[in-house]
Amino acid sequence: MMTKSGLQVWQLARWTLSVGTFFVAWEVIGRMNVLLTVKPFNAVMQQLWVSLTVGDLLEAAGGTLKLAAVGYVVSIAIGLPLGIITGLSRAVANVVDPIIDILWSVPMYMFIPLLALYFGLGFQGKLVLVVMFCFVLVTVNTAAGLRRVPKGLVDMGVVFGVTGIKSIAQVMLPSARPYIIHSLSITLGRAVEAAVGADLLLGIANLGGFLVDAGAKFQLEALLAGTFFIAVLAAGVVGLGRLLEWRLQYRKGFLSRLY
Amino acid sequence: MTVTAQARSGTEQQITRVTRKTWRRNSPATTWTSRLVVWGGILAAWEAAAHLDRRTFLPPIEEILLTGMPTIFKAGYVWTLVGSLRQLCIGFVIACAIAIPVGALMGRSRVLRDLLSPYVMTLFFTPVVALMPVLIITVGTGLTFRTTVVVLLAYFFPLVNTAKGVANVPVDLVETARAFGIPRYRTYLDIHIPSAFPYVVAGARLGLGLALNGMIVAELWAVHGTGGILLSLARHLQLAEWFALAFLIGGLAVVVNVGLKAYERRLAVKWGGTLASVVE
Repeated sequence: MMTKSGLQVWQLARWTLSVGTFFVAWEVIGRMNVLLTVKPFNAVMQQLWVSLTVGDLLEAAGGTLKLAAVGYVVSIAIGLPLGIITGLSRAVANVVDPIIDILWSVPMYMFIPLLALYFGLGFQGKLVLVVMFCFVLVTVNTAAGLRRVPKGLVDMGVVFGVTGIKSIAQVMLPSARPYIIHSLSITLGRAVEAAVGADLLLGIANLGGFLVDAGAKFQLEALLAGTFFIAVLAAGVVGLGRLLEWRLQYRKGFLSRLY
Repeated sequence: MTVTAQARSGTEQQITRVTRKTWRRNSPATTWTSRLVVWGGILAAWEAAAHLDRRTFLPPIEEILLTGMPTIFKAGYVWTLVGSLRQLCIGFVIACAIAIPVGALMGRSRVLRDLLSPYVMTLFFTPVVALMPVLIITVGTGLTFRTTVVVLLAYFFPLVNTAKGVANVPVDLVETARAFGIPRYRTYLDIHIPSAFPYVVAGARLGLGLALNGMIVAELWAVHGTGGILLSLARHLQLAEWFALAFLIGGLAVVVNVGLKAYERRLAVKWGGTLASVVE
């Protein structure tokens, strides 16, 4: 027990060192003025504060997060039942799996010009893009979880008289739970990424609009502040997802599981 | 030992036959009949929608194959795609050249892993698309920009998987080798590399998929190459050509993915282990 907590302290120390080095290097390089786009960290943070309090960065983030959230919910509403069905039935999997494989391999960004044509540059088109990015992730992981249910577990259920739909609800789905929870967690990050991509490439708005606006006006501090904010926001959402996953799944030792 | 194991697996099979009727292997005939019906139905619905209502913007399938395909060859779009893929390869090779050694080091050393993982992880969680506006002001819209986007997207899975593979090298084999006085470089060649290799291949496959995404997204943003063509075809409503080009890109992606997956499976069989690919 002692060594484990000792290790975690060392780990935290190394992380702090590593992250600290990054910010110090950013500040120093910014002050040296060698790279046009690298403004000092200090100046970027001041700009970030201004954008957050006076400007519309918070509003923009709200718009993008709303898109991500709606897309996330729709993706789960499509992906989870599809994953359960393909995970349970070989007959359905035979037909659907090749299609899922194709959707998994094809670069989804490719469809942006087409989505603009079919669904417009507004919320609807962006929602479709986010869902296209996300639902396959849920489906694949859910199906994988159900297919890896240990046969012995199902058999034991049979011995105790748990069969059919009861076996699915009481044995197979609980056994696949870690996979399903994991997929819900990783899809969270994917949804934010897709939403930012949609706001940049499909219809320029929200956080994408903030970046494009700052770039067009050549306000480099604002551009860096926006980019930094998006990075922190995305990492925050992913971190929150992981934290919830650990709480649901393992309940202890979360630092040791980050990697 | 063997007898009990066999006996156990025998009963297991019997019980399995009773319980998981749904997961029994279907005959190829049944499989292909159901596939034919469902996939044919989807294509038929597409075809019907395309013919019944031109406002759906769906080009009929025969138009994609007979008009679209020849046009993208004649107009030279295929060569643009080849050029884009060459840039993708440059980016991917750079990504692997960085990711695999760094991943191997991170798998070996705990200190290095702790020091580098904040960067590796943060960069992975950051939407790379959000970095494009800064990148484009820094390096312009040229080859550097597009390669950088590919590298930023592609590095992660090769790195993490290599680290995982190196960390999972069988310790007992290494110690046995050491006990027999085998020189260290031989243990690296014969134990470390072969046991980490399936992980590296799995990582490379996932990285390649993301690299393709990176290529497309960078070219859409810079309105250049294949991405630029996809934009302009859609804008001019040349949808038969659009779908033909998309079909080529998608087909290539699927072939590479499925091929590498099959290779992974062969490696897994060869080394007698489990499939190294992670479920993302």
